[in-house]
Amino acid sequence: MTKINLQAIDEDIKKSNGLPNHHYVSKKIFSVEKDKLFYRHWFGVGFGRDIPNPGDIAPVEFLGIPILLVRNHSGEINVFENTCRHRGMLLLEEKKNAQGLIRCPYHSWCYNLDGELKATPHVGGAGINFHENLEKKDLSLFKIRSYLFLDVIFITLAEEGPSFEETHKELLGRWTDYKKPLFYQENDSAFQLKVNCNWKLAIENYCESYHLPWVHPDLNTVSKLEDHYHIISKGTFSGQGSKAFSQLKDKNGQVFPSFSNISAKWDHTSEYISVFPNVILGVHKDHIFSGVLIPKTAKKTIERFSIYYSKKDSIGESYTSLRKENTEFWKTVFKEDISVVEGMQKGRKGKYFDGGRFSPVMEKPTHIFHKWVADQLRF
Amino acid sequence: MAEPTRNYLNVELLEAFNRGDKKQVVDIYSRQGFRDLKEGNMGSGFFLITQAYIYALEEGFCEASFLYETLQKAGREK
Repeated sequence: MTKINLQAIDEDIKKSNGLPNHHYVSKKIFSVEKDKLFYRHWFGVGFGRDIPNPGDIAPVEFLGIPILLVRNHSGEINVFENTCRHRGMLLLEEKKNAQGLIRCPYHSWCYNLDGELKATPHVGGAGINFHENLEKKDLSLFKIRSYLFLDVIFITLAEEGPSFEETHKELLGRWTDYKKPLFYQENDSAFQLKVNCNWKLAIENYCESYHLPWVHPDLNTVSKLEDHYHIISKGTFSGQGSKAFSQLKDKNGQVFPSFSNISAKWDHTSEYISVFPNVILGVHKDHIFSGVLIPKTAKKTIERFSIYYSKKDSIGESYTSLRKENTEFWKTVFKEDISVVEGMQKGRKGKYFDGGRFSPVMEKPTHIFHKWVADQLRF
Repeated sequence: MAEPTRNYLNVELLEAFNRGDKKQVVDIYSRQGFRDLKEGNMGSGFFLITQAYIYALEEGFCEASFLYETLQKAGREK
């Protein structure tokens, strides 16, 4: 493997460079990142809203790994490898609601929604459905550790290692006010963008506020640059907050209901955090949004977003117009970012760019992300 | 009324599969399976009942428990 020299990123931000060009264009680095930046960590693969009902199963291929997102009949979410324990056949190719078991299409071994192997037809000969050398209890689907946070389904392929709660103790503590039921309206509260850039550019752009006055001029009227502050973690997330949040209002002055029992600080504060490697989150007193970035190649990324509300009323008919306006607002903001993240991708085709420099004052959150990437790649 | 022939059942089965009518698939496998058992054709009977059982399990049909009991009593399922 190419030796990765990332020493320049260790420096203090005042002197530091960013990640060099090949970290955004190289297939080889992209492949290394799968293991070192994703599989070993907690990364987002989808949303609870992808499997809203008991019995829902969604097959997902994420960075080449076939997985099943499953909501069992008790409503609990589990994630399994989408691979039969028999001959390694892909179990499901399309989303479905299972009234019964998951049947492998090859030899029909069947699993329940908790991943337990329940039937092995003809395995002992025609009409004989067991064999002394095959213990069903030893052949459950491979379960992947998962955790639902702000409706994002996080998984890790590390069989051991810290839990999500341990890994993100700092973030969970920071946003404990949002550990509440979330309400999602499937008709108008999601959008998806295809972006021609490396996934890291979307993450690093999201976590800093330096670009806001130039790329999102409409925000200048409601939330100026000086209203923002950095959110700095010990290394698992970074982001920015605004002290000038004001709720979206319709022409009659109607606003979405707020979350119950949250700190008064959220009256005028909103926060936007990149959770490394690939999840972006935003919280406000009346709604939150979650985004999962799906790296497709070194130069292509799909961004999936969902918006959630504080109360069931907010997803009802009387808020339809305001909800659509809110979705359109956030979609516009994220679409405005496309030109810069794609522009940075194009710029990285150049021969001489050395990873660039950071604003020591304005880009600490971005530097933290680069440092995190560099630290993981060294091991 | 004369019982349907195996050829007729094959056609009926394929049509049920094409319609995605798993209830009918379970019914056809099950009917023929029990018919074979009645005629002493145990191998074919338990094969067909297993087929019915698996599709019933997949779809969560209530027939699954009776088919399971049949197989289990005959030492064909644990």
